[in-house]
Amino acid sequence: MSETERDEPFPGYSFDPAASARADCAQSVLRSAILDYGDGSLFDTEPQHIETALARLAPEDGA
Amino acid sequence: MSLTDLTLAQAAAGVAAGEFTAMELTEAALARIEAVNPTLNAFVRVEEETAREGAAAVDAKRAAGQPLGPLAGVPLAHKDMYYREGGLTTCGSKIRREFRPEVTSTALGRLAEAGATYLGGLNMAEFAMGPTGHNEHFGPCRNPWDPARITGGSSSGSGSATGGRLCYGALGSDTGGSIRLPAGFCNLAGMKPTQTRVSRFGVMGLSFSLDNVGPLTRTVLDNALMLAAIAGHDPLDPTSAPNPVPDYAAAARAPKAAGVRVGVARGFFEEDADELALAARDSALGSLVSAGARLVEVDVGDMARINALSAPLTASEAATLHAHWLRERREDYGAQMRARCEMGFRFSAVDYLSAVQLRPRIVTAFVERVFSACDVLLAPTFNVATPTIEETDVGSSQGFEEVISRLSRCTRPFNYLTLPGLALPTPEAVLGMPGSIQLLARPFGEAALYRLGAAYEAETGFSSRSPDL
Repeated sequence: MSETERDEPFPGYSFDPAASARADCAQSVLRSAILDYGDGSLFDTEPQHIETALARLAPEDGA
Repeated sequence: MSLTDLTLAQAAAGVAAGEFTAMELTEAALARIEAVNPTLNAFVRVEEETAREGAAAVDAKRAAGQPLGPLAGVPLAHKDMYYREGGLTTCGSKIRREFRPEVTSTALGRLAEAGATYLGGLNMAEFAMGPTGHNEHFGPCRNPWDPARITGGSSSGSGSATGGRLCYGALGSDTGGSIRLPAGFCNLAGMKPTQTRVSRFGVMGLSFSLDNVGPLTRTVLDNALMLAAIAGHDPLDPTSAPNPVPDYAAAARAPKAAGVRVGVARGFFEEDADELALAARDSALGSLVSAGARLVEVDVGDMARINALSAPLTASEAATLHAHWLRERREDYGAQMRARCEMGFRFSAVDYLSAVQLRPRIVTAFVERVFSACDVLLAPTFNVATPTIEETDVGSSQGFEEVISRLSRCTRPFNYLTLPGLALPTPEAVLGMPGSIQLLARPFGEAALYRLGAAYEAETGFSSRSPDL
């Protein structure tokens, strides 16, 4: 089995090699973006509360 | 003038005033579907009996002097991923070709409460993943302005059926542009509301962080009427926002462009763009100025990074939802869907959580920076000429990701950013096909988009254009 034809994510299932190549590229771009933004995350105590941010950013008059 | 040429608002007003019956509207729509759907392939299923029963109920209600809802008697059809208890819901897939859900989606329930009737299920990309309108299982959906060209996707049938006058409006869903793209390619108004504005209960999920429910319609007022019917908190969807719902229809009936600061998004949105698409965008800018808006330049930052951050959300969440079927029924997926889901298994948990964790901070910074400089942001919905179905029928080949990426590059950032976006046709066409801009506002700013959009519609007259079918 070649490097790009791994037995994953399930036994007996092999990734499409082309999809693997695209994923590698997307992952590389993503990690670069995360590094660019990545300061201060140790202090992000509510990282998943997107609703809190949206409520705060809504127009004050509701319209 | 045929009844199918009426706008949604005109159709509803006509039923309410007794100028025609809901049954007459329904029969006109069914006749139009019979005549045109073989060309467009917009409907995957027409439910004549359901439609006629709904129309008869509205007519009986009116005859009895009972109050009618704001959409009473208006025949609608929807992307075939909105659950109706006991009714077929294929999700554009082979896997769910015989699926009959046990619940009704809140969005469809609210449209029914408003009096709308249901014509059937509309074509879509398989499981809502794909921006072109191709579907290996049901065949490609075709553009009413040129059936050789794509409709855009994934809400392909919603764009084609509404643009082709087969129905008066349709729900789509938007995870990376899937409402705005078909609206744009089919000369329609398409609203991706603020993330959490509309309940997603009973709607097939693709990416729970990025999925949105919204309408595609011929006019801005029609769009406002549909969103007004479905927006608002739903106890069945705990992620739906508790914010009050403004009177969207009133906003659309009070057009206002004078003094509105419209920020022009350049940079990323102009890179790799077709000149004619940008010329169409510029024609829209001209119309907004004519209507009284003031253009300002704004710095939108690095949108390529935003798109990179949205990738693990879409891919990982889709892969999570489809893992079981990928394992058990891999061959029942189309090639594009399978390949894109596979990407989701390759991102690490740290990749995914980093993108989730950064989101509130990035959204806050973007909104505070951009919407301190302007009231509404304007960007192209797409910056390419409408390709043919043949040109974009690329399966899972090496080129398909590039095609997909190019078509949706202008819409995807605003899903990660959660912002409401209203796609509207440009005054100038692009090689004879509709062009499109998107107007964007701060979270929960849909009413501002309808006010400006209505002024833009009055200035451009885009909704008076009709395809020759």
